[in-house]
Amino acid sequence: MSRLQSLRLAQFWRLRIELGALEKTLPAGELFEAIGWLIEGVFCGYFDPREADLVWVRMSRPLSACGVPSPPLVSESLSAEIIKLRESREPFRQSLQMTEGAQKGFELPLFPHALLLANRFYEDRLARVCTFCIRFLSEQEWHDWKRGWSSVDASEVFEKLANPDQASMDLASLLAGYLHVLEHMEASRSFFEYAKSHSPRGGDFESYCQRVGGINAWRVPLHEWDLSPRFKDLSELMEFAIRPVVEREFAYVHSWSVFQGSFSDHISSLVRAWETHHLSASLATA
Amino acid sequence: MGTQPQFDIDDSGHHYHYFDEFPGSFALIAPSESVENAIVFVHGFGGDACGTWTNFHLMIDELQWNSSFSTTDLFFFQYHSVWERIQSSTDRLLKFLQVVVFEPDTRHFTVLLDPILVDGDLESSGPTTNVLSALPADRHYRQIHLIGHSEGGVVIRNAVVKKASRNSPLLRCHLSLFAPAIAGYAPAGLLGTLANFPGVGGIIDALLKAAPAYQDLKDTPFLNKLRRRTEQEARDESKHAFRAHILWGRNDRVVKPDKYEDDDEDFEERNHIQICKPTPQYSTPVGWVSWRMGL
Repeated sequence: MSRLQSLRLAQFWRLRIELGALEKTLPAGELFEAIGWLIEGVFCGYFDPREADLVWVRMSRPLSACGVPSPPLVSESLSAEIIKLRESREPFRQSLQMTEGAQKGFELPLFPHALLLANRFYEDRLARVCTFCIRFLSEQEWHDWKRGWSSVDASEVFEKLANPDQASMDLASLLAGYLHVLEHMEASRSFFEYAKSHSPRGGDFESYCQRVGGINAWRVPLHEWDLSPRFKDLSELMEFAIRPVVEREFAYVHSWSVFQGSFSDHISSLVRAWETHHLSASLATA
Repeated sequence: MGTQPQFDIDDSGHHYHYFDEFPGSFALIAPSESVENAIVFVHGFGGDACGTWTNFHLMIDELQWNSSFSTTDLFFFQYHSVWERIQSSTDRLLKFLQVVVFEPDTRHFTVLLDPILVDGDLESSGPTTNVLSALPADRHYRQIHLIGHSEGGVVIRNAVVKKASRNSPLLRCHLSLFAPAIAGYAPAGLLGTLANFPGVGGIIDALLKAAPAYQDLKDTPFLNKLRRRTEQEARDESKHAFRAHILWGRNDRVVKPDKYEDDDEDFEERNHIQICKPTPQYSTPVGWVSWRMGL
Protein backbone atom coordinates (compact mmCIF):
# COMPACT_ATOMS: atom_id res chain seq x y z
CA MET A 1 0.00 0.00 0.00
CA SER A 2 1.15 3.58 -0.46
CA ARG A 3 0.94 6.41 2.02
CA LEU A 4 -0.65 8.64 -0.58
CA GLN A 5 -3.24 6.05 -1.53
CA SER A 6 -4.31 5.82 2.10
CA LEU A 7 -4.52 9.59 2.43
CA ARG A 8 -6.51 9.89 -0.77
CA LEU A 9 -9.08 7.30 0.13
CA ALA A 10 -9.53 8.52 3.70
CA GLN A 11 -10.11 12.03 2.40
CA PHE A 12 -12.44 10.80 -0.28
CA TRP A 13 -14.47 8.95 2.33
CA ARG A 14 -14.68 12.02 4.52
CA LEU A 15 -15.74 14.34 1.72
CA ARG A 16 -18.09 12.16 -0.25
CA ILE A 17 -19.55 9.59 2.11
CA GLU A 18 -19.13 10.45 5.77
CA LEU A 19 -20.25 14.08 5.66
CA GLY A 20 -23.23 13.31 3.45
CA ALA A 21 -24.23 10.37 5.62
CA LEU A 22 -23.96 12.51 8.75
CA GLU A 23 -26.40 14.96 7.24
CA LYS A 24 -28.58 12.02 6.28
CA THR A 25 -28.82 13.59 2.84
CA LEU A 26 -26.95 11.17 0.67
CA PRO A 27 -29.40 10.40 -2.08
CA ALA A 28 -28.95 7.54 -4.50
CA GLY A 29 -27.40 9.67 -7.23
CA GLU A 30 -24.74 10.99 -4.87
CA LEU A 31 -23.88 7.54 -3.55
CA PHE A 32 -23.72 5.93 -6.99
CA GLU A 33 -21.51 8.78 -8.15
CA ALA A 34 -19.19 8.24 -5.16
CA ILE A 35 -18.95 4.55 -6.06
CA GLY A 36 -18.17 5.54 -9.63
CA TRP A 37 -15.21 7.60 -8.41
CA LEU A 38 -14.09 4.72 -6.20
CA ILE A 39 -14.19 2.28 -9.10
CA GLU A 40 -12.34 4.59 -11.44
CA GLY A 41 -9.83 5.55 -8.74
CA VAL A 42 -8.95 1.91 -8.12
CA PHE A 43 -8.84 1.23 -11.85
CA CYS A 44 -6.20 3.89 -12.55
CA GLY A 45 -4.22 3.20 -9.36
CA TYR A 46 -5.21 6.31 -7.44
CA PHE A 47 -6.78 4.26 -4.64
CA ASP A 48 -5.50 1.01 -3.17
CA PRO A 49 -7.82 -1.95 -4.00
CA ARG A 50 -7.48 -3.55 -0.54
CA GLU A 51 -8.42 -0.34 1.19
CA ALA A 52 -11.23 0.19 -1.29
CA ASP A 53 -12.63 -3.18 -0.25
CA LEU A 54 -12.77 -1.96 3.35
CA VAL A 55 -14.56 1.20 2.29
CA TRP A 56 -16.89 -0.91 0.19
CA VAL A 57 -17.92 -2.91 3.24
CA ARG A 58 -18.72 0.31 5.07
CA MET A 59 -20.79 1.51 2.14
CA SER A 60 -22.90 -1.59 1.95
CA ARG A 61 -25.62 -0.39 4.31
CA PRO A 62 -26.34 2.99 2.63
CA LEU A 63 -26.00 1.26 -0.73
CA SER A 64 -28.62 -1.33 0.04
CA ALA A 65 -30.94 1.49 1.10
CA CYS A 66 -30.54 3.10 -2.33
CA GLY A 67 -31.79 0.09 -4.25
CA VAL A 68 -30.57 -1.16 -7.60
CA PRO A 69 -28.64 1.43 -9.60
CA SER A 70 -30.13 2.07 -12.99
CA PRO A 71 -30.10 4.72 -15.71
CA PRO A 72 -30.56 7.65 -15.87
CA LEU A 73 -28.91 8.25 -12.47
CA VAL A 74 -26.01 6.05 -13.54
CA SER A 75 -24.79 4.98 -16.93
CA GLU A 76 -25.44 1.42 -18.13
CA SER A 77 -21.79 0.52 -17.65
CA LEU A 78 -21.53 1.98 -14.14
CA SER A 79 -24.75 0.27 -13.16
CA ALA A 80 -23.32 -3.07 -14.34
CA GLU A 81 -20.07 -2.40 -12.45
CA ILE A 82 -21.90 -1.68 -9.20
CA ILE A 83 -24.01 -4.82 -9.52
CA LYS A 84 -20.84 -6.82 -10.17
CA LEU A 85 -19.18 -5.34 -7.09
CA ARG A 86 -22.15 -6.32 -4.96
CA GLU A 87 -21.80 -9.92 -5.99
CA SER A 88 -18.14 -10.21 -5.03
CA ARG A 89 -16.63 -10.69 -1.58
CA GLU A 90 -13.43 -8.77 -2.35
CA PRO A 91 -14.63 -6.75 -5.32
CA PHE A 92 -11.78 -4.33 -5.77
CA ARG A 93 -8.97 -6.83 -5.19
CA GLN A 94 -10.49 -8.88 -7.95
CA SER A 95 -11.31 -5.98 -10.24
CA LEU A 96 -9.51 -5.06 -13.42
CA GLN A 97 -6.75 -2.47 -13.04
CA MET A 98 -4.86 -0.47 -15.61
CA THR A 99 -1.48 -1.75 -16.59
CA GLU A 100 1.54 0.55 -16.59
CA GLY A 101 1.87 2.43 -19.84
CA ALA A 102 0.94 5.58 -21.70
CA GLN A 103 -2.78 5.41 -20.95
CA LYS A 104 -2.22 5.04 -17.21
CA GLY A 105 0.44 7.74 -17.37
CA PHE A 106 -2.23 9.96 -18.88
CA GLU A 107 -5.17 9.08 -16.61
CA LEU A 108 -3.60 8.82 -13.17
CA PRO A 109 -2.27 12.40 -12.93
CA LEU A 110 -5.60 13.76 -14.14
CA PHE A 111 -7.71 11.80 -11.69
CA PRO A 112 -7.30 14.02 -8.59
CA HIS A 113 -8.28 17.09 -10.56
CA ALA A 114 -11.30 15.41 -12.11
CA LEU A 115 -12.29 14.41 -8.58
CA LEU A 116 -11.66 17.92 -7.28
CA LEU A 117 -14.02 19.39 -9.88
CA ALA A 118 -16.63 16.75 -9.09
CA ASN A 119 -16.28 17.41 -5.36
CA ARG A 120 -16.87 21.11 -5.89
CA PHE A 121 -19.97 20.42 -7.94
CA TYR A 122 -21.15 18.04 -5.22
CA GLU A 123 -20.58 20.60 -2.45
CA ASP A 124 -22.18 23.53 -4.28
CA ARG A 125 -25.48 24.32 -2.57
CA LEU A 126 -26.73 26.67 -5.26
CA ALA A 127 -25.98 24.23 -8.04
CA ARG A 128 -27.76 21.58 -6.00
CA VAL A 129 -30.95 23.69 -5.86
CA CYS A 130 -30.84 24.00 -9.62
CA THR A 131 -30.18 20.32 -10.33
CA PHE A 132 -32.79 19.31 -7.75
CA CYS A 133 -35.45 21.46 -9.39
CA ILE A 134 -34.61 20.14 -12.84
CA ARG A 135 -34.71 16.54 -11.72
CA PHE A 136 -37.34 16.33 -9.03
CA LEU A 137 -40.01 18.99 -9.58
CA SER A 138 -43.18 17.55 -11.06
CA GLU A 139 -44.43 18.85 -14.40
CA GLN A 140 -47.07 20.87 -12.59
CA GLU A 141 -44.58 22.34 -10.14
CA TRP A 142 -42.18 23.27 -12.93
CA HIS A 143 -45.02 24.90 -14.83
CA ASP A 144 -46.05 26.86 -11.73
CA TRP A 145 -42.50 28.05 -11.21
CA LYS A 146 -42.25 29.15 -14.83
CA ARG A 147 -45.33 31.29 -14.52
CA GLY A 148 -43.54 33.31 -11.85
CA TRP A 149 -40.32 33.82 -13.76
CA SER A 150 -41.07 37.38 -14.81
CA SER A 151 -41.00 38.35 -11.15
CA VAL A 152 -37.39 37.30 -10.59
CA ASP A 153 -35.36 40.15 -9.14
CA ALA A 154 -31.72 40.62 -10.19
CA SER A 155 -30.77 42.00 -6.80
CA GLU A 156 -32.07 38.87 -5.09
CA VAL A 157 -30.05 36.73 -7.49
CA PHE A 158 -27.02 38.80 -6.59
CA GLU A 159 -27.71 38.19 -2.90
CA LYS A 160 -27.82 34.44 -3.49
CA LEU A 161 -24.64 34.45 -5.52
CA ALA A 162 -23.00 36.50 -2.83
CA ASN A 163 -24.05 34.18 -0.06
CA PRO A 164 -24.59 30.62 -1.31
CA ASP A 165 -25.19 29.38 2.23
CA GLN A 166 -28.57 31.12 2.03
CA ALA A 167 -29.64 29.00 -0.93
CA SER A 168 -33.28 27.99 -0.69
CA MET A 169 -36.02 26.72 -2.94
CA ASP A 170 -36.90 29.97 -4.66
CA LEU A 171 -36.49 31.58 -8.07
CA ALA A 172 -33.45 33.63 -7.14
CA SER A 173 -31.63 30.53 -5.87
CA LEU A 174 -32.68 28.61 -8.96
CA LEU A 175 -31.16 31.20 -11.26
CA ALA A 176 -28.07 31.63 -9.10
CA GLY A 177 -27.77 27.84 -9.09
CA TYR A 178 -28.11 27.77 -12.86
CA LEU A 179 -25.20 30.20 -13.15
CA HIS A 180 -23.17 27.98 -10.86
CA VAL A 181 -24.05 24.93 -12.93
CA LEU A 182 -22.82 26.79 -16.00
CA GLU A 183 -19.62 27.52 -14.12
CA HIS A 184 -19.15 23.84 -13.34
CA MET A 185 -19.84 22.98 -16.96
CA GLU A 186 -17.23 25.52 -17.99
CA ALA A 187 -14.72 24.02 -15.56
CA SER A 188 -15.49 20.58 -16.93
CA ARG A 189 -15.07 21.73 -20.51
CA SER A 190 -11.76 23.30 -19.69
CA PHE A 191 -10.60 20.13 -17.92
CA PHE A 192 -11.54 17.78 -20.75
CA GLU A 193 -10.03 20.08 -23.37
CA TYR A 194 -6.84 20.01 -21.36
CA ALA A 195 -7.09 16.24 -21.04
CA LYS A 196 -7.69 15.82 -24.75
CA SER A 197 -4.64 17.89 -25.57
CA HIS A 198 -2.58 15.51 -23.41
CA SER A 199 -4.21 12.27 -24.49
CA PRO A 200 -1.57 9.83 -25.74
CA ARG A 201 -1.38 9.07 -29.42
CA GLY A 202 -3.30 5.89 -30.03
CA GLY A 203 -5.06 6.26 -26.67
CA ASP A 204 -8.79 6.01 -26.30
CA PHE A 205 -9.98 9.46 -25.27
CA GLU A 206 -13.59 8.61 -25.97
CA SER A 207 -13.45 5.72 -23.52
CA TYR A 208 -11.87 8.06 -20.96
CA CYS A 209 -14.76 10.51 -21.37
CA GLN A 210 -17.33 7.74 -21.10
CA ARG A 211 -15.81 6.33 -17.93
CA VAL A 212 -14.72 9.49 -16.11
CA GLY A 213 -17.15 12.03 -17.54
CA GLY A 214 -19.98 9.55 -17.22
CA ILE A 215 -19.62 9.36 -13.45
CA ASN A 216 -21.30 12.70 -12.74
CA ALA A 217 -23.21 13.03 -16.00
CA TRP A 218 -26.48 12.78 -14.07
CA ARG A 219 -26.01 16.23 -12.56
CA VAL A 220 -26.82 17.95 -15.86
CA PRO A 221 -29.35 15.60 -17.46
CA LEU A 222 -29.22 16.82 -21.02
CA HIS A 223 -29.71 13.25 -22.21
CA GLU A 224 -33.10 12.84 -20.54
CA TRP A 225 -35.82 13.91 -22.95
CA ASP A 226 -38.19 15.05 -20.21
CA LEU A 227 -35.58 17.02 -18.21
CA SER A 228 -33.42 18.48 -20.93
CA PRO A 229 -36.01 21.14 -21.90
CA ARG A 230 -35.96 22.40 -18.32
CA PHE A 231 -32.28 23.19 -18.59
CA LYS A 232 -33.00 25.13 -21.76
CA ASP A 233 -35.90 26.93 -20.06
CA LEU A 234 -33.52 28.38 -17.53
CA SER A 235 -31.93 30.70 -20.06
CA GLU A 236 -35.34 32.41 -20.24
CA LEU A 237 -35.25 32.91 -16.49
CA MET A 238 -31.81 34.41 -16.97
CA GLU A 239 -33.27 36.83 -19.52
CA PHE A 240 -35.96 37.99 -17.13
CA ALA A 241 -33.33 38.82 -14.52
CA ILE A 242 -30.59 40.30 -16.58
CA ARG A 243 -32.31 41.99 -19.50
CA PRO A 244 -33.47 45.04 -17.50
CA VAL A 245 -29.94 45.45 -16.17
CA VAL A 246 -28.26 45.15 -19.56
CA GLU A 247 -30.75 47.51 -21.19
CA ARG A 248 -30.30 50.04 -18.42
CA GLU A 249 -26.49 49.90 -18.42
CA PHE A 250 -25.74 49.44 -22.08
CA ALA A 251 -28.76 50.72 -23.99
CA TYR A 252 -26.68 53.34 -25.73
CA VAL A 253 -24.19 50.87 -27.17
CA HIS A 254 -25.95 47.52 -27.41
CA SER A 255 -29.36 46.12 -27.95
CA TRP A 256 -30.45 43.17 -25.84
CA SER A 257 -30.10 40.91 -28.83
CA VAL A 258 -26.30 41.36 -28.83
CA PHE A 259 -26.03 39.97 -25.33
CA GLN A 260 -28.68 37.34 -25.96
CA GLY A 261 -26.88 36.11 -29.06
CA SER A 262 -23.56 35.79 -27.24
CA PHE A 263 -25.15 34.15 -24.24
CA SER A 264 -27.07 31.71 -26.38
CA ASP A 265 -23.88 30.75 -28.26
CA HIS A 266 -22.10 30.30 -24.96
CA ILE A 267 -24.79 27.99 -23.60
CA SER A 268 -24.84 25.98 -26.82
CA SER A 269 -21.11 25.43 -26.67
CA LEU A 270 -21.31 24.35 -23.02
CA VAL A 271 -24.11 21.93 -23.83
CA ARG A 272 -22.13 20.45 -26.70
CA ALA A 273 -19.09 20.04 -24.49
CA TRP A 274 -21.10 18.39 -21.68
CA GLU A 275 -22.69 16.02 -24.17
CA THR A 276 -19.32 15.14 -25.65
CA HIS A 277 -17.43 14.72 -22.41
CA HIS A 278 -20.06 13.35 -20.04
CA LEU A 279 -22.93 11.94 -22.02
CA SER A 280 -21.45 10.26 -25.05
CA ALA A 281 -22.16 6.77 -23.66
CA SER A 282 -25.74 7.61 -22.67
CA LEU A 283 -26.50 9.38 -25.93
CA ALA A 284 -25.06 6.48 -27.91
CA THR A 285 -27.37 4.01 -26.18
CA ALA A 286 -30.43 6.31 -26.03
CA MET B 1 -2.43 7.77 18.12
CA GLY B 2 -0.15 4.89 17.06
CA THR B 3 3.16 4.84 15.24
CA GLN B 4 3.39 5.81 11.59
CA PRO B 5 2.93 2.85 9.24
CA GLN B 6 5.56 1.91 6.70
CA PHE B 7 4.59 2.76 3.16
CA ASP B 8 6.01 2.33 -0.28
CA ILE B 9 7.54 5.44 -1.80
CA ASP B 10 5.11 7.12 -4.15
CA ASP B 11 6.80 9.37 -6.67
CA SER B 12 3.73 10.77 -8.37
CA GLY B 13 2.92 14.48 -8.67
CA HIS B 14 1.50 16.81 -6.06
CA HIS B 15 -1.00 15.44 -3.57
CA TYR B 16 -4.39 17.18 -3.31
CA HIS B 17 -5.15 17.96 0.32
CA TYR B 18 -8.42 19.58 1.42
CA PHE B 19 -8.70 21.71 4.58
CA ASP B 20 -11.70 20.99 6.78
CA GLU B 21 -11.40 24.29 8.62
CA PHE B 22 -10.96 26.41 5.51
CA PRO B 23 -13.80 25.25 3.27
CA GLY B 24 -12.96 25.36 -0.41
CA SER B 25 -9.25 25.90 0.19
CA PHE B 26 -6.87 23.13 -0.75
CA ALA B 27 -3.17 22.43 -1.15
CA LEU B 28 -1.07 20.66 -3.72
CA ILE B 29 1.64 19.12 -1.62
CA ALA B 30 4.94 18.24 -3.22
CA PRO B 31 5.96 14.61 -2.84
CA SER B 32 9.42 15.60 -1.67
CA GLU B 33 10.43 15.63 1.99
CA SER B 34 12.70 18.59 1.43
CA VAL B 35 10.53 21.51 0.38
CA GLU B 36 11.55 25.11 0.97
CA ASN B 37 9.18 26.99 -1.33
CA ALA B 38 5.49 27.70 -0.92
CA ILE B 39 3.10 29.57 -3.16
CA VAL B 40 -0.24 30.85 -1.93
CA PHE B 41 -2.90 31.70 -4.51
CA VAL B 42 -5.64 34.19 -3.62
CA HIS B 43 -8.52 34.48 -6.09
CA GLY B 44 -10.55 37.58 -6.87
CA PHE B 45 -14.13 38.85 -6.76
CA GLY B 46 -16.59 36.07 -7.62
CA GLY B 47 -13.78 33.58 -8.22
CA ASP B 48 -12.72 30.57 -6.21
CA ALA B 49 -9.67 28.49 -5.40
CA CYS B 50 -10.26 26.24 -8.37
CA GLY B 51 -11.86 28.17 -11.23
CA THR B 52 -9.69 31.28 -11.03
CA TRP B 53 -6.54 29.23 -11.45
CA THR B 54 -7.87 26.80 -14.08
CA ASN B 55 -5.14 24.51 -15.44
CA PHE B 56 -2.52 25.85 -13.03
CA HIS B 57 -3.11 22.81 -10.83
CA LEU B 58 -2.51 20.47 -13.72
CA MET B 59 0.31 22.20 -15.53
CA ILE B 60 2.70 22.32 -12.56
CA ASP B 61 3.10 18.54 -12.77
CA GLU B 62 3.75 18.53 -16.50
CA LEU B 63 7.20 17.47 -17.57
CA GLN B 64 7.99 20.98 -18.77
CA TRP B 65 7.29 22.57 -15.38
CA ASN B 66 7.78 19.69 -13.00
CA SER B 67 11.41 20.49 -12.30
CA SER B 68 10.33 23.98 -11.21
CA PHE B 69 7.47 22.98 -8.97
CA SER B 70 8.35 19.49 -7.73
CA THR B 71 9.81 20.92 -4.53
CA THR B 72 7.16 23.58 -4.03
CA ASP B 73 3.92 23.31 -2.07
CA LEU B 74 1.03 25.25 -3.54
CA PHE B 75 -1.89 26.53 -1.49
CA PHE B 76 -5.15 27.67 -3.05
CA PHE B 77 -6.96 29.87 -0.55
CA GLN B 78 -10.70 30.41 -0.81
CA TYR B 79 -12.75 33.14 0.83
CA HIS B 80 -16.14 34.83 0.45
CA SER B 81 -14.96 37.38 -2.06
CA VAL B 82 -18.38 38.79 -2.78
CA TRP B 83 -20.14 38.57 0.53
CA GLU B 84 -17.44 39.72 2.90
CA ARG B 85 -15.64 43.03 3.21
CA ILE B 86 -11.96 43.24 2.33
CA GLN B 87 -10.99 43.55 5.99
CA SER B 88 -12.79 40.34 6.85
CA SER B 89 -11.25 38.47 3.93
CA THR B 90 -7.85 39.83 4.96
CA ASP B 91 -8.36 38.46 8.44
CA ARG B 92 -9.23 35.04 6.98
CA LEU B 93 -6.12 35.09 4.80
CA LEU B 94 -3.87 36.03 7.72
CA LYS B 95 -5.27 33.17 9.80
CA PHE B 96 -4.80 30.75 6.92
CA LEU B 97 -1.22 31.87 6.33
CA GLN B 98 -0.33 31.63 9.99
CA VAL B 99 -1.54 28.08 10.69
CA VAL B 100 -1.06 26.53 7.27
CA VAL B 101 2.02 28.17 5.79
CA PHE B 102 4.11 30.19 8.25
CA GLU B 103 3.85 27.71 11.12
CA PRO B 104 2.04 24.70 9.68
CA ASP B 105 -0.19 23.23 12.36
CA THR B 106 -0.25 19.45 11.96
CA ARG B 107 -3.96 19.51 12.80
CA HIS B 108 -4.71 20.96 9.36
CA PHE B 109 -2.75 18.27 7.57
CA THR B 110 -3.84 15.27 9.56
CA VAL B 111 -6.24 12.83 7.96
CA LEU B 112 -8.20 10.27 9.96
CA LEU B 113 -7.73 6.83 8.52
CA ASP B 114 -10.65 5.17 10.31
CA PRO B 115 -12.65 4.33 7.18
CA ILE B 116 -9.76 2.36 5.70
CA LEU B 117 -8.74 0.60 8.90
CA VAL B 118 -9.72 -2.98 9.45
CA ASP B 119 -11.96 -3.78 12.37
CA GLY B 120 -12.31 -7.00 14.34
CA ASP B 121 -14.59 -8.61 11.79
CA LEU B 122 -12.23 -8.14 8.89
CA GLU B 123 -8.95 -9.63 7.84
CA SER B 124 -6.08 -7.62 9.34
CA SER B 125 -4.08 -6.12 6.50
CA GLY B 126 -4.42 -2.36 6.83
CA PRO B 127 -2.35 0.31 8.54
CA THR B 128 -2.16 0.22 12.30
CA THR B 129 -2.42 3.91 13.10
CA ASN B 130 -5.56 5.95 12.76
CA VAL B 131 -4.03 9.22 11.52
CA LEU B 132 -1.63 10.22 8.81
CA SER B 133 -0.14 13.57 7.83
CA ALA B 134 -0.52 14.83 4.31
CA LEU B 135 2.93 16.38 4.65
CA PRO B 136 5.76 13.94 3.94
CA ALA B 137 7.91 15.84 6.46
CA ASP B 138 7.80 18.99 8.58
CA ARG B 139 7.82 22.13 6.50
CA HIS B 140 9.85 25.29 7.13
CA TYR B 141 9.50 27.39 4.03
CA ARG B 142 12.45 29.56 3.11
CA GLN B 143 10.68 31.37 0.29
CA ILE B 144 6.97 32.14 0.25
CA HIS B 145 5.24 33.68 -2.71
CA LEU B 146 1.79 35.24 -2.62
CA ILE B 147 -0.09 35.28 -5.90
CA GLY B 148 -3.30 37.28 -6.21
CA HIS B 149 -5.82 37.93 -8.91
CA SER B 150 -8.03 41.03 -8.97
CA GLU B 151 -9.57 41.54 -5.51
CA GLY B 152 -7.12 38.90 -4.25
CA GLY B 153 -4.33 41.41 -4.92
CA VAL B 154 -6.05 43.93 -2.67
CA VAL B 155 -6.60 41.35 0.06
CA ILE B 156 -2.92 40.39 -0.04
CA ARG B 157 -1.69 43.98 0.03
CA ASN B 158 -4.03 44.82 2.86
CA ALA B 159 -2.73 41.83 4.80
CA VAL B 160 0.83 43.03 4.28
CA VAL B 161 0.00 46.55 5.48
CA LYS B 162 -1.74 45.14 8.54
CA LYS B 163 1.49 43.42 9.53
CA ALA B 164 3.74 46.37 8.61
CA SER B 165 4.64 47.30 12.16
CA ARG B 166 5.42 43.75 13.24
CA ASN B 167 8.16 41.29 12.51
CA SER B 168 5.87 39.03 10.55
CA PRO B 169 7.09 36.44 8.02
CA LEU B 170 4.52 38.01 5.75
CA LEU B 171 6.83 40.97 5.22
CA ARG B 172 9.45 38.68 3.71
CA CYS B 173 7.02 37.16 1.21
CA HIS B 174 7.24 37.95 -2.48
CA LEU B 175 4.18 39.28 -4.29
CA SER B 176 3.10 38.55 -7.85
CA LEU B 177 -0.27 39.92 -8.82
CA PHE B 178 -2.46 39.27 -11.83
CA ALA B 179 -4.56 42.33 -12.69
CA PRO B 180 -4.92 43.45 -9.07
CA ALA B 181 -7.83 45.75 -8.30
CA ILE B 182 -5.54 48.08 -6.35
CA ALA B 183 -6.82 51.14 -8.21
CA GLY B 184 -10.46 50.17 -8.04
CA TYR B 185 -12.85 47.73 -9.50
CA ALA B 186 -16.30 47.72 -11.06
CA PRO B 187 -18.19 44.82 -9.56
CA ALA B 188 -21.55 46.58 -9.77
CA GLY B 189 -24.57 44.41 -9.09
CA LEU B 190 -25.37 41.28 -10.97
CA LEU B 191 -23.45 42.30 -14.08
CA GLY B 192 -20.32 42.89 -12.07
CA THR B 193 -20.63 39.49 -10.49
CA LEU B 194 -21.26 37.83 -13.81
CA ALA B 195 -18.21 39.55 -15.25
CA ASN B 196 -16.16 37.16 -13.14
CA PHE B 197 -17.81 34.01 -14.33
CA PRO B 198 -15.81 32.03 -16.86
CA GLY B 199 -17.60 32.09 -20.18
CA VAL B 200 -20.39 34.42 -19.17
CA GLY B 201 -17.71 36.83 -18.02
CA GLY B 202 -16.32 36.93 -21.53
CA ILE B 203 -19.69 38.09 -22.80
CA ILE B 204 -19.94 40.78 -20.16
CA ASP B 205 -16.40 41.81 -20.97
CA ALA B 206 -17.46 42.39 -24.57
CA LEU B 207 -20.19 44.68 -23.32
CA LEU B 208 -17.86 46.51 -20.96
CA LYS B 209 -15.47 47.08 -23.83
CA ALA B 210 -17.95 49.43 -25.44
CA ALA B 211 -18.84 51.25 -22.27
CA PRO B 212 -15.97 53.46 -21.13
CA ALA B 213 -18.15 55.04 -18.47
CA TYR B 214 -18.22 51.71 -16.75
CA GLN B 215 -14.49 52.02 -16.45
CA ASP B 216 -14.60 55.12 -14.34
CA LEU B 217 -13.70 53.40 -11.19
CA LYS B 218 -13.81 55.47 -8.09
CA ASP B 219 -10.78 55.55 -5.87
CA THR B 220 -12.07 54.90 -2.42
CA PRO B 221 -10.36 56.28 0.69
CA PHE B 222 -9.52 52.70 1.62
CA LEU B 223 -7.62 52.06 -1.60
CA ASN B 224 -5.84 55.39 -1.34
CA LYS B 225 -4.74 54.64 2.20
CA LEU B 226 -3.56 51.20 1.20
CA ARG B 227 -1.48 52.71 -1.56
CA ARG B 228 0.00 55.40 0.66
CA ARG B 229 0.99 52.97 3.41
CA THR B 230 2.44 50.45 0.95
CA GLU B 231 4.49 53.02 -0.93
CA GLN B 232 5.82 54.41 2.33
CA GLU B 233 6.93 51.02 3.60
CA ALA B 234 8.39 49.98 0.24
CA ARG B 235 11.33 52.30 0.91
CA ASP B 236 12.65 49.65 3.29
CA GLU B 237 14.19 47.22 0.82
CA SER B 238 14.29 44.35 3.29
CA LYS B 239 10.49 44.21 3.22
CA HIS B 240 9.88 42.45 -0.09
CA ALA B 241 6.17 42.26 0.46
CA PHE B 242 5.61 45.97 -0.15
CA ARG B 243 6.76 45.66 -3.74
CA ALA B 244 4.90 43.55 -6.24
CA HIS B 245 5.40 42.38 -9.76
CA ILE B 246 2.20 42.81 -11.71
CA LEU B 247 0.90 41.22 -14.88
CA TRP B 248 -1.89 43.24 -16.51
CA GLY B 249 -4.19 42.27 -19.34
CA ARG B 250 -4.23 44.71 -22.24
CA ASN B 251 -7.88 43.82 -22.85
CA ASP B 252 -8.93 44.12 -19.23
CA ARG B 253 -12.13 46.19 -18.88
CA VAL B 254 -12.58 45.57 -15.20
CA VAL B 255 -9.57 47.06 -13.42
CA LYS B 256 -7.33 50.04 -14.11
CA PRO B 257 -3.69 49.13 -14.77
CA ASP B 258 -2.33 51.53 -12.20
CA LYS B 259 0.60 50.12 -10.24
CA TYR B 260 2.19 51.44 -7.06
CA GLU B 261 5.40 53.42 -7.28
CA ASP B 262 7.84 50.57 -6.57
CA ASP B 263 6.00 47.82 -8.40
CA ASP B 264 7.20 46.28 -11.63
CA GLU B 265 4.75 45.49 -14.38
CA ASP B 266 4.24 43.59 -17.61
CA PHE B 267 1.34 43.35 -20.04
CA GLU B 268 -0.22 40.46 -21.90
CA GLU B 269 -2.87 40.33 -24.64
CA ARG B 270 -5.51 38.97 -22.30
CA ASN B 271 -8.66 40.15 -20.53
CA HIS B 272 -9.38 40.23 -16.82
CA ILE B 273 -10.44 36.59 -16.61
CA GLN B 274 -7.88 35.09 -18.96
CA ILE B 275 -4.81 36.80 -17.55
CA CYS B 276 -4.17 34.25 -14.76
CA LYS B 277 -5.40 31.11 -16.49
CA PRO B 278 -2.70 29.15 -18.28
CA THR B 279 -3.60 26.97 -21.24
CA PRO B 280 -1.44 24.77 -23.43
CA GLN B 281 -1.28 27.76 -25.83
CA TYR B 282 -0.78 30.42 -23.14
CA SER B 283 1.64 29.16 -20.53
CA THR B 284 2.71 32.64 -19.43
CA PRO B 285 1.03 32.51 -16.00
CA VAL B 286 2.91 29.35 -15.02
CA GLY B 287 6.15 30.55 -16.56
CA TRP B 288 5.80 33.96 -14.95
CA VAL B 289 5.24 32.50 -11.48
CA SER B 290 8.11 30.06 -11.96
CA TRP B 291 10.38 32.89 -13.05
CA ARG B 292 9.31 35.08 -10.15
CA MET B 293 10.06 32.23 -7.76
CA GLY B 294 13.48 31.82 -9.31
CA LEU B 295 12.66 28.18 -9.95
